[in-house]
Amino acid sequence: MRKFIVTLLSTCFLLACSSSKVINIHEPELEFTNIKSDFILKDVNNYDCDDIDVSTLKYILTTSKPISQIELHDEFSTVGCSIKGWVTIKNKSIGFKFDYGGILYLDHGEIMACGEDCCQNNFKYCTWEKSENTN
Amino acid sequence: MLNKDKDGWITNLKVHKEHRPTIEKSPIGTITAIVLHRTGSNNAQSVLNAWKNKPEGTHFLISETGKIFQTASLNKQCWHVGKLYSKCRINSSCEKADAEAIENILHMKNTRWGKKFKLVTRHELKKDYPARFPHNLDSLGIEVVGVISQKSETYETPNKLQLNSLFWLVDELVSLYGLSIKDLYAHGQVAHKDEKKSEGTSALKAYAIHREK
Repeated sequence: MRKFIVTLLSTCFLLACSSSKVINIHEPELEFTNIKSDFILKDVNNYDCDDIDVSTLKYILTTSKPISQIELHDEFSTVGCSIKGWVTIKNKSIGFKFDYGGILYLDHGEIMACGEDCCQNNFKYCTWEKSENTN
Repeated sequence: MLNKDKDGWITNLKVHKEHRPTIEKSPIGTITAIVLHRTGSNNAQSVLNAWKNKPEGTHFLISETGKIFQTASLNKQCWHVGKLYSKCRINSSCEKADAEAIENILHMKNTRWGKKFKLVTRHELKKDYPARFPHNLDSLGIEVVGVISQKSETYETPNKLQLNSLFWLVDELVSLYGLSIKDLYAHGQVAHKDEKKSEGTSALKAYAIHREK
């Protein structure tokens, strides 16, 4: 038992995890626990992105909403800075990738993204725009 | 040679008019490029339905069976490109002042990534094509029905029927507007779309092989 606790604590220390429950505001039945990530940043465009923390992930899981591939294509941009992690949904641990454009790709195929509610107060990890024109 | 009427519509039996007025914007300038897109859906009908009341779209849509729809006049801009990458930054060819201006935007504090990309796009639009990537102002867009494969995280390669239609359409447009293969772009390569920059890439590669034959 002691060994198990030590292993669990050291895993949490290395991965930075949060066991508290996060409930999505758009779909209250969508509950997330055990949010874990090693926060190792992949930066494909060399944008020198800053580190992200678990409280930001919690905010995204709370305020983002499930979207389709079409919505992703039309309304969001990818930054190319991303981290990987795991989250428990309905007692199942699911891997995810979070792109700094506010896009969370869950390994079971669902995509959640930081849209209107999430993009408040100049939230940094936000690329959502209803209309993409930049002229 | 492809015929286009005065209102910007192709008059050819291979091209089916499905006018979607909501995706048509201001008059387009000189057409200098074509951008290849993928829909993120597996059928054309859902896209045609969505474009009945959406502001974004492309001039053409190629269905899962290779049917070509023209949805907007070639005299009008469509919002299809989105937020551009800096071309010279990608090619490591920016002049010093230009590179500094772009890096300053990208490193702005307390600024949304979406806002930074908008500013980079505005900065890029001060340049003339081909010093920058094409934009809504000067390019046509072609959507090809297709989704991202969950396994590879890249867009699936268009099927044979789609590719045959795409080759014919692009050949005709290239000829109509006096473009070259260098003026063809994959959307994922020019704008901040999928992380692997795959949107339109497989279609573009297939077209390049077709041209070499």
